[in-house]
Amino acid sequence: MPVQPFDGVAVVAPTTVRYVRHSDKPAHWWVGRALHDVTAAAGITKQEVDGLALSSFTMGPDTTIAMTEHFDMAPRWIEWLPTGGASGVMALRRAARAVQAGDASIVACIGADTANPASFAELVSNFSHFSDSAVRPYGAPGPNGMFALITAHYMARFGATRADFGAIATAQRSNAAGNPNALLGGKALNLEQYLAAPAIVEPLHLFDCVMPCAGAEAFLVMSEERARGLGLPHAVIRGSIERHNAYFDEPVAVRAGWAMDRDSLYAQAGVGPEAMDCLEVYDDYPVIVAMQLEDLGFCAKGEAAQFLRHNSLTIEGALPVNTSGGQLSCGQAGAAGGFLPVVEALRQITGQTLGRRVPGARLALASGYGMVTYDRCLATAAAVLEGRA
Amino acid sequence: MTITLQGCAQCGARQYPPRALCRACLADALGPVEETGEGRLIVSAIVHRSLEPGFAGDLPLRIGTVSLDCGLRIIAFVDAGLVDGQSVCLRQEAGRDGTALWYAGALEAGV
Repeated sequence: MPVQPFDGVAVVAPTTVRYVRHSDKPAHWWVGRALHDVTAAAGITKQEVDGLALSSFTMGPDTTIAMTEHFDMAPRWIEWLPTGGASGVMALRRAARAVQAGDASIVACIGADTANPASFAELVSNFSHFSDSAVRPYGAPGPNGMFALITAHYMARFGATRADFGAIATAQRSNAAGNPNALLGGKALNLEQYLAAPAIVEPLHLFDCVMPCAGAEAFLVMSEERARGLGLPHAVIRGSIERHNAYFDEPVAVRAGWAMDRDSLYAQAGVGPEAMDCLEVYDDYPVIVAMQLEDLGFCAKGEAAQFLRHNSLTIEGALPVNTSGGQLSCGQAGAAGGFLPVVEALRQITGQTLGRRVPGARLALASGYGMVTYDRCLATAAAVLEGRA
Repeated sequence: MTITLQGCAQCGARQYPPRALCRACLADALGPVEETGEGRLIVSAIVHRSLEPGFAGDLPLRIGTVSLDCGLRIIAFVDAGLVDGQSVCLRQEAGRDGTALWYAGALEAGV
């Protein structure tokens, strides 16, 4: 059976709760602020929200159900997405189906996390059974060690250089200029600075790694009819994919689930990658941006370095990528980082950007990538969104 | 030299990291099996900064992905002098806290 289209569904109210480096507030505060802001942006009350999809790493032991009590809500549909970097697109997909099925009429999708040194240490030291038993004892808790291996392997196999990854980091930093939510947006980054940065886990250096922070990202999913009735600029979902644990037999990841499903994505959308006005991809590390250029069909496998040598990823460039600056420039607000691609895509194609807009942007691709439980992220997802002003 | 891994008595699959059931056939028939520790160092990386405070005095450390001849991949410490891509032999040694950890060494050394 073919994938059913996402007809009749609107995505509205791109919302960002301003990121801060450290926060003494609990994750619940960030969820609640996002709920406040996203409903205010749409001109509705929280009582009209009858579906709630949440993702957070620092809300434990609470999940979505506890938030209904926390904030006096009685939704008829809830979802909990413990899938980090993939949770934004996954929330979008589930919310869209709930609206189509009539199980909910307005779904608030929120990714939110607090951040302080204790919360981050707790997160990386207790992330998964495999990571705890087979990675952390080697001095490499958290994702840096495993993504250093993926990066080194990619460089050796395909001839990519640090300067190629620097082109990604510097382009995204350029895109962050003008975005008041980008914690590093005011700090210009050129290739010399990128190359001269201190090593973290070689070949990864400082500007290859995201800076943990607190923050929230959110959007609403409802019927197109409802969005029009509320007078809201909105986006429709032209296609969407999701895959977990793809290519698990490959010794080191050189591709991920997008490669398995991109034909379905573009068949659903009725357009190819060349039609995208901007690309908002999960960017925990530059190598994953490079990998997605390949796996999502912008160039062939192994040719991202060549692509980057001829195509700028800046807003003014041939293919604007991570137009907010991405997590590499905004900071990684935990699970909100998994919502950033969807929220920024929605901003670009509905003309609600925090910073600069790709002129006339109408079609955007947003992706997610999450959960390095051993030596690679397992969850991949993507969606093609089209703006309807 | 052999190493001990978790194997399935029903289908013969080997697995790492250890799991609660066989990853392939889901049988509850797991036990220790001897395998050759021989494989290939696919790639390595140098840890300069660790989020694990206890490692501060040991840095930099070299870690790598070893692909065993039996098809599994294992994250291990990498001995000095090894080159990415070369054949290696895995061994277990007591780490800092006494637990057994994986180390990749030169195959020719016969250790």
